Amino acid sequence: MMLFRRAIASAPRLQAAGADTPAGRSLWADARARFLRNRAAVASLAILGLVIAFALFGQHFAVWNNEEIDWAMLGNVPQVGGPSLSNGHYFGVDETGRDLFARTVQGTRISLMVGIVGALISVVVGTAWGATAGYVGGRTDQVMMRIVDLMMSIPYMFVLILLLVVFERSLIMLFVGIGLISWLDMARIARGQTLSIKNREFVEAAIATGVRRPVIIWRHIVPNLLGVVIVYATLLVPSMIIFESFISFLGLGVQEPSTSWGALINAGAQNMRNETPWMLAFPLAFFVVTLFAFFFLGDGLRDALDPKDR
Amino acid sequence: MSDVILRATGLRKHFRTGGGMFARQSTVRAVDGVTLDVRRGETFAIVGESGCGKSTLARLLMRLLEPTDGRIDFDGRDISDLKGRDLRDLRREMQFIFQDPFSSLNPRMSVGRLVAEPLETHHPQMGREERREEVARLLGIVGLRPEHADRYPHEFSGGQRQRIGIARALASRPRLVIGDEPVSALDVSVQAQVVNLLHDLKAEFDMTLVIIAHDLAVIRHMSDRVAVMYLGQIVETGTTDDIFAHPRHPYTMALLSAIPEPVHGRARTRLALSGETPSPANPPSGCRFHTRCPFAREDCAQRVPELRPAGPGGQHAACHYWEEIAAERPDAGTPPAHERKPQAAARFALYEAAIDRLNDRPETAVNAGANDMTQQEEDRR
Repeated sequence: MMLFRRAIASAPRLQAAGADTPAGRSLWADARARFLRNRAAVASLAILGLVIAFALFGQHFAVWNNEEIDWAMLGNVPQVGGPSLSNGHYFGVDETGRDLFARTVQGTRISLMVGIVGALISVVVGTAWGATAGYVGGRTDQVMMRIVDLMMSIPYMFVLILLLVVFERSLIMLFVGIGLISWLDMARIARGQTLSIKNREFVEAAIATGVRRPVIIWRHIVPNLLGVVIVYATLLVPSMIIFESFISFLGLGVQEPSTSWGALINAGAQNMRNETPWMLAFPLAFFVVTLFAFFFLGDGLRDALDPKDR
Repeated sequence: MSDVILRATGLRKHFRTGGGMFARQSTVRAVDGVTLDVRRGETFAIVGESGCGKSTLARLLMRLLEPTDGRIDFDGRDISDLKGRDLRDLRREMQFIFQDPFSSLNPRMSVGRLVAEPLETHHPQMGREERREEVARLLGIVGLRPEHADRYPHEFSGGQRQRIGIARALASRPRLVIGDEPVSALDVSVQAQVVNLLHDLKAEFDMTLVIIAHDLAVIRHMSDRVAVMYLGQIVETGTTDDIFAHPRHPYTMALLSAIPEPVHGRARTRLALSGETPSPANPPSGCRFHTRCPFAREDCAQRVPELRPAGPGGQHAACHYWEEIAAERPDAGTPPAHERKPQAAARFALYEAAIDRLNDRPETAVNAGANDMTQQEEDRR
């Protein structure tokens, strides 16, 4: 099926071949075309775009600031604090009378940032670490991968709690903690892939050409790893968000007045009995929809980058 | 300057396998004491069946593998211990053509970048525009079009990819090219084109060619001298004509007798070998071929034969009894390429004349032919 489609796609190119310059289609271009045919993945991408736009520009649509307390609401939030277009609290207010819309914008920002920073660290550090260990091999590989094993064997939750307790609880510390653990799995995946790529003949050809080792890793190994890495990274973003939410749910993550999805969901869950379902519903809806979108995106990317034609 | 461009002396490569916590380690003697000379400007072929160590030998000569023992001289200079910068400079002089055109080209790089890589490595001072022109020229030499530089390897057929590999190998203007079965992964119809291309390029660029192969027809067609390998050792060397006309080593005889002959009704005496190739991890004692040799004598299992002169033209064979065996089997060689009947010869001459008339392009006939073939390959896809 795939081949058939490829054949059709290449037919007009053949006719053009005799004429002027026919542009070659890289594997990336092929993958993009395949990705765009996947409706669920494209829809997920659109939804993620909207969520990111919400995080970036949401505060311009908010009537209330995320720090002001609406004193009119305080005291009888369950009765009058619900979502309403007329008083400007689109998502209602939280238990202290702050506008939940503005708070959700703020929380979305933090949560997305945590997810993306975590994924970025893992892509950059994990890929470089794994590709180097796998390519160089031997003792270097042993040492580098044992470091990974060692870090994995320490219960990260314990380390993170220690970090957050010993140093001040701050966003930076949270990023450091997430950065420390996020790249470990990626390093293993990248190393495994590198081991199979480095025995392909084109790497040997590069060696025979006299290309330097760092250039071989950068030019021949990494681009061939990237398919797997990208897919794993898109799946890592939601898991980082979940991780942060869990920490915040435990009360160790971001600190008031800052917030995140996890902190908002935590607050909403604690107020469930007070008949204020909107406090849970809105942050949770964002959380679930975004995570779904990331998973679908990852799936779509995996199908698009499937190494069938490598 | 001496006549020899590449010389290997007592070259060995042993691989350790197994050796887990409980498994016993064993040593595979992939190449076990190979000595050979490659002369400047010749085409030197190394033949042998699968697993005899040909590819390992090629990679040793290229310094892609570290030899366990022995030395390699390139142009009179010992290259077995070169490192870093010196080794990189050596890479410019020696290039490699790979067997599998599908895995030897990085799928993420365009053809232009693939062919430009040796230029970037060895001529970093070359400008972008200059490099583009050079790549276009190289693609032209191997019968591809300059605009192919923007395409990616997966858009080409096997034969075209092998041409890309050849263009890459030529880019640094090497003096020696080693081909590890450069045509065995290709369709038979495309093999001939690539063989002819290599042959012409060799003459054009004044290169020395070392070809690893198991296809005897290819070797007879293109090589000047041949070395026959069996279980990591060279059992016979000599000029192609000598070896094909009067093989001295029983293994060579067996190999040659397996070539099908396109002559109707000719009675053939096949020399069939029985049994499997012994494992290179545990080679037989004495002469390594004695377990399968139809002429084996008693002491073949004890005495290790050395390569010794076995003919006037520099032919050498590693067999204790080649004289006796040659007397026993005077017909072991293959006949010279058979003659066409006069009528057939006349008809072929007519065909050739017609083809020449059709070829009105200004390029050399070879290049034009290559271009035609490229077009055909493309159409077929």
